[in-house]
Amino acid sequence: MRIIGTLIERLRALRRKDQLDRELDEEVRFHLEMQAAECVRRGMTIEEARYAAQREFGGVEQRKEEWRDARFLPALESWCQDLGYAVRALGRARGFALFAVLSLALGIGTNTAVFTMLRSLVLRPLPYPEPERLVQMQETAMWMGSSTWGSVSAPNLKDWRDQNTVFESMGAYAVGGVNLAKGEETVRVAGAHVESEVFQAMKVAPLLGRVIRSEENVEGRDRVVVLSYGLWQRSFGADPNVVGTRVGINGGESVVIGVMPAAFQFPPRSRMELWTPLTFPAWARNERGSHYLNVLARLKEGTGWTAAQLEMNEIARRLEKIHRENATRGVRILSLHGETVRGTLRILTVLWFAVAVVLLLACANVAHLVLARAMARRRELALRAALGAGRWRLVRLFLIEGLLLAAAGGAAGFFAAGWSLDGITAVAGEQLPQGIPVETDWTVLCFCAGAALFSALLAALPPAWNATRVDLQSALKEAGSAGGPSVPRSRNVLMVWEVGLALVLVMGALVLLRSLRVLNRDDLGFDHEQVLTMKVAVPSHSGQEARVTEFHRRVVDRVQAMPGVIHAAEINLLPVQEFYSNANFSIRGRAADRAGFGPAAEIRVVTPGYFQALGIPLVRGRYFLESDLEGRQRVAIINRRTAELYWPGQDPVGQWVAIGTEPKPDAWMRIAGVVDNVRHAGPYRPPLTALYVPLSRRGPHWAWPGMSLVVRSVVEPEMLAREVRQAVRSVDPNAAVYLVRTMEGVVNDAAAGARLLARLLAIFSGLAVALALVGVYGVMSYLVSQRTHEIGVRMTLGAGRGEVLLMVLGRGARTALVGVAVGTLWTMPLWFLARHYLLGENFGYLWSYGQAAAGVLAVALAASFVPAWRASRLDPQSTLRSE
Amino acid sequence: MAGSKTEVPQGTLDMLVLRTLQHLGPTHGWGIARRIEQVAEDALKMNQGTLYPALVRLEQRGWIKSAWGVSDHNRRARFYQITARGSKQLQVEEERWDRIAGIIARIRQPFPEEGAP
Repeated sequence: MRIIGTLIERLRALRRKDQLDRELDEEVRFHLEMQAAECVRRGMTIEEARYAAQREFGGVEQRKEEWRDARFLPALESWCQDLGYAVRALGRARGFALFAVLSLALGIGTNTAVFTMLRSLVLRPLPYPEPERLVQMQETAMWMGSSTWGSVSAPNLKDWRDQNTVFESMGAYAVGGVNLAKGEETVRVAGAHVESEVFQAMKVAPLLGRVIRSEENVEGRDRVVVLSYGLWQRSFGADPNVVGTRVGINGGESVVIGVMPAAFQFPPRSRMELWTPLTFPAWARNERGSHYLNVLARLKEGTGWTAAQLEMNEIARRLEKIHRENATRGVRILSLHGETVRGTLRILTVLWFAVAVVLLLACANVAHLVLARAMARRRELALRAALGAGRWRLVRLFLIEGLLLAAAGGAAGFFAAGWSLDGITAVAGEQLPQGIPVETDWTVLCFCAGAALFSALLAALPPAWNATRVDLQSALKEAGSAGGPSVPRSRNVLMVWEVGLALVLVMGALVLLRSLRVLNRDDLGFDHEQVLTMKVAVPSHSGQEARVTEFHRRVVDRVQAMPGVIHAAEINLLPVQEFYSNANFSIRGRAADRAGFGPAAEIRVVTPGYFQALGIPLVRGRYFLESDLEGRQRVAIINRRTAELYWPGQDPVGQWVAIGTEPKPDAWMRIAGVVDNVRHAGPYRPPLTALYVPLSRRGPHWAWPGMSLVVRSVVEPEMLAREVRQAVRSVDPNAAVYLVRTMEGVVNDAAAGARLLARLLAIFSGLAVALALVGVYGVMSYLVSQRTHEIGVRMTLGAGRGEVLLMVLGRGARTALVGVAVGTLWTMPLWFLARHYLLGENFGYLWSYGQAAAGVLAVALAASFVPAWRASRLDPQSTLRSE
Repeated sequence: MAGSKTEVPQGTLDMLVLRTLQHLGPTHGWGIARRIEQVAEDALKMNQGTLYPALVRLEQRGWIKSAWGVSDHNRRARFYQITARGSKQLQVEEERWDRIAGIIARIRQPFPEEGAP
């Protein structure tokens, strides 16, 4: 209140400056006259008296100046005073200052780096006009009894588009590879198949030519292609007359109709090389249950999200009533921006958690040092208090010191942020979006300053509060002795914090590292060593399904015959990748379940040798046989999870299943065998139910144009790559072979995100442990120095050196244990994450916890050991004499 | 405050002013200076001018208040008066002073140079 009052006074004074100056003159003149009159009474002449009065007053103008200072900005002056004092004090304690600045620079720098990334990669709007109006749309549904969401079917999209009044444009796209004929060679390039509405929604004009028109989204008229800037530069020599030329695409010829600008990406943050019209084959136009489209839309100007969502709910309810396939199906609208940055945000969130812990630890260490200095300055503080300094003035001393340190730390951190940014980017590699400039701008500068201010407050205020709470009398009485009841509790709190924080980070790193180790045969469900994989695709159009099947069967036969190959097989989707291809299925003899609750499984199309090629064990029955493909009876194989879920306690072998909820009479398949579970959807997702169907020449033709070849060999897989590629080409020269990787590489790529986080967390937890080590060492050293006298007394009374050592170590251990207990509470969310996403329900988490806790405790004990050793070496005589 | 040969500690001067005003009632600046000098009997030497910044400070803190009036010699002068808050503050200051004066007397050894812990 007083501060505010003073402030008001001063502001008022500012306004009435002239009047106040006049009053001051008058007051001084009065004083001098009175003084002079007094002197005259004592017998001086008038001249002498005037002179004497001025001398007594002590420099009239000087006083007036002081008076004005007091009136206006004494605060500024005293701040400057304190600042000068802090600079001198820090100059005397260079070691302390250097350590504090470096710790803070580390903490602030890493935080600034992560913020810079967050700003550039997550917060920055997408590079399209009015990007906030762009949304992504998904279907929601009940699936195996719980709610889920995913792609959209073509008929549903058409109905949404026709019936809504809230979207300006709404279009579908599918991402995939395209075989691009370039001279002799056919290369596979990434491309998106889009509806014309997608380009309308993006509102980006082409650099050359035009974009796709709606009449081109029809089969037969779709032989046109829009090139990306990059592809145009690389493969077409930036030819300005490229529009109108013909290129070979998917075995046919297409006309180049346009080139997009360099900055254009679609889908956002993807690196598509070209865009071709999306067409709907006859089956897809009518198949309401076939969900495979991504849908993008642009909201009308001024339409809110809620309004749009409500209207779409209405439409979905209508469709649900009309079409049985739409039972339980709804719509959800998501921000395109949010969906685009989700993965990056996840990585950065974990990263931010790590660097925040590092900053907190740095602050804790600096706070401890400030507190220790405050204790050394107790008498000085008490004297200042005695001479009239208020508590705020004393607290301010610390605050200014903290601000000075943090400003230096922040400045150093701002530069360190550049290095951390480079480091993190280098470690992250492909896991963070490429090609997006990560820039430092004024918000980053503000963040850096904010982080510095935060650190200053955190590092300086608690110790300042503590240290200025001293009792004047006792502080002065202590008269320089280091003993006395200081503030051990706050120190313990600091140590508990540091140990707890370090534990959390170490835990995070260990859990992630462990999750990487999990990727072996037992957990994944297959043997990924000595296996080569590649995608093999053949150009195809609807009506050519039999030809595609034939191609894939011949590729497998050809490769199987190669020397050095043990097993060759194909599958539509390799395991441990986050791709789904699932369907409801029916079990003969059982009534259909309520919609959304029926049996469902991942459908995988394989050639017979697949299980042997990946070493997937058989649980019951048998693997596929070549004869299965020729016989009249159709067969399928299910995985263990499907058997346990739908045939609990029974033998599913010999049972009949069919894909779909209303199978045709010839669709039933006899279950030939049960194989063990495989993690299909990702390295950390628990195995899903799966139904394997064989790829047979006789049909039905499940084959996809692009299938994955898996080759188990006696020789090193990489050595086979060339020959296998040649073998595929010899089957069909138009075939494209791409994504050639070992199965080990596939697994590693699938775990790349987790590996990146593990690596970064390992680095940061290393830093955290180092900071905690220093912190514990500091606290324990201080403790020993405070108890020197007591230790001397104990030793004089017969305590051995061992006992003293154990006493100090015990003290350290007790505090560290409390820290571990507190840290354990903080790691609870990790437990949840680990069980559900990383490690599954096993003892991996507890084991990691044990390691982390033991490790952190060991570090704390190690840090306590040096002070403990020093305590045990004390000479009792001299400690007592020094009192 | 800038270097001056007669340093009366800031807190002390404030206390002296408050005590004077408590004792004399409304007084102008010169009266306060005179009174302090008389009481201290020249033992405490201060520049009378130092008083004025102190008065502003005390007024800003709400411990004294001032008003223009007419002096004994029929001159216009600014009169200072202690407020209720000022009286309370004086009490606190004096108690503290007594305590500290006692303590300071007991301090013998010189203060060690401060440094890093």
